[in-house]
Amino acid sequence: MKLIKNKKGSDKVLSIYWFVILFIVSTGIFGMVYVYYHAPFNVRGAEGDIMANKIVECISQQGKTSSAWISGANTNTQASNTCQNARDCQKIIGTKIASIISGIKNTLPADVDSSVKQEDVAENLNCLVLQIAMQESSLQHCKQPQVNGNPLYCDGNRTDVKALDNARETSLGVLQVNTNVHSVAAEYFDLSVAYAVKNVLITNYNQYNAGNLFASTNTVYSGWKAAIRGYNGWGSGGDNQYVEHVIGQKDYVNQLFPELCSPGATTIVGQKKDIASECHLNFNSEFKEQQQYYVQVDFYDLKTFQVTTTANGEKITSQPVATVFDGNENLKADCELQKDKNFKIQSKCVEKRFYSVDEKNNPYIINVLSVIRKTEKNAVQ
Amino acid sequence: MSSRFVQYKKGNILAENIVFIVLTLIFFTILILFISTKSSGTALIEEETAKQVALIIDSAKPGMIIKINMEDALDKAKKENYKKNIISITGNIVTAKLSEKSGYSYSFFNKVDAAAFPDTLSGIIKDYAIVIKGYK
Repeated sequence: MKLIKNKKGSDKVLSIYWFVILFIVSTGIFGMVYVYYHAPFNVRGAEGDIMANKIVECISQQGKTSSAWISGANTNTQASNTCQNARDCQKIIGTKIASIISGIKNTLPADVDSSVKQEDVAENLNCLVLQIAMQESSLQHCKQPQVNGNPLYCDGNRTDVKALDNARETSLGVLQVNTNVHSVAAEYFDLSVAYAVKNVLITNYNQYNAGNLFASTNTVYSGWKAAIRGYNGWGSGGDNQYVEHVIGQKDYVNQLFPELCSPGATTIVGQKKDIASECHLNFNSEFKEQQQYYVQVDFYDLKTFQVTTTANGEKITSQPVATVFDGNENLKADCELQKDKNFKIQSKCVEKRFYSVDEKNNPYIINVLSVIRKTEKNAVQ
Repeated sequence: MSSRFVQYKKGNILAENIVFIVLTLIFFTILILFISTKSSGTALIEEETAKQVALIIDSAKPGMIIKINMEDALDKAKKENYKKNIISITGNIVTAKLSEKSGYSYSFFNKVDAAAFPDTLSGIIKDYAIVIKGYK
């Protein structure tokens, strides 16, 4: 009898627990079904793929690419390479620096341009490096501004490269990389610029971003100011007002490079071209406030084309000979972020790469990037 | 006395079990109804149709006529008593509409002159024809 009583009690308790479990499970199922069917269909990947295919068909017909695409664009490395006066030579050197930075941008932090601008040290990273180059060498890689119109006549030739040799340092080139501290062949222009940006400026930014005391003036520098300070060194014997001097170059650099450094200027080195019209595309959409599309086409010389394989896939390391783009340039920053992780609410980026030749049978690797935003209709509601 | 007690007890357990089974069935019925309503909702079909048509137009070339089976969408429109065209194209925006109160629009980037018609050739309308006339 005692046993039966106990059994009845456990039955009732069990049924209450059963309903509690049922309630929890059904709430979970309701929630999952609601979230699943409430989320919009994300078709941006397919859309980006179709757009990239359209551009490929438009640029290359039966494997031939019109040289108008390449010669009509700002050729990044073959742009007017000669100069007669110091200012024109500075422009050539500066444009080449910006082009090198664009080439290594995918290895730098994604928000680098916006953080530089936010701290009001320069308009973007390109301009900050140009300001440093202006302070370090007056944008001059060689001892003379030019020889026979060539501002890079000394490239790779240690004896003709602009140098500061003393007991403290042996600094070379346009960004005066101290070869006593850094093991790099700084007499080579491309190499020294890429090294100075990645291994000196960005490294200092990552290391001292939170703030560091510069004992010589008892000043605490943080963010990009700390990176600039670190570029000149934290010890004594350097320029104690280096940060202020670099920021002071802002106006001159903005005047010299309005296409790169005027407020709101694009950091993409290349030419804005009406790709939409030439390829029968319409960039208008139901989103009236801003364009939802961006396309960029990079032309690489096949002979010098190089890629490196990383954990996140292939990365192009060579410089494009020409770049054209169209649409909303602000969307490109989303692609940099998505190289590490796929963020749903950001624009979807699709890249396609193909081989083509021009009329003179010059071979090119052409990289097409298409970016679709339309976030409100594909990722969130 | 003892046997009456056992009989009474048995009946009590049966009633509890019936209530338990009925409540469980109600739970699952509501759940299944909820899932089926959500999965066949007008808004869902409209979004799917508009995006599908926009992608088809994006990948199409001038001169193409593409037929799409729209039976599900047409059935839904019939249930909603909606008798107008369920797909319309204005400029570069496709709109799918299965009832008077709803509708979903999505844009395409291919700069073509496109139009959508119900395919009346087979008598009963099951398909829609997307006609790509030429570049604008």
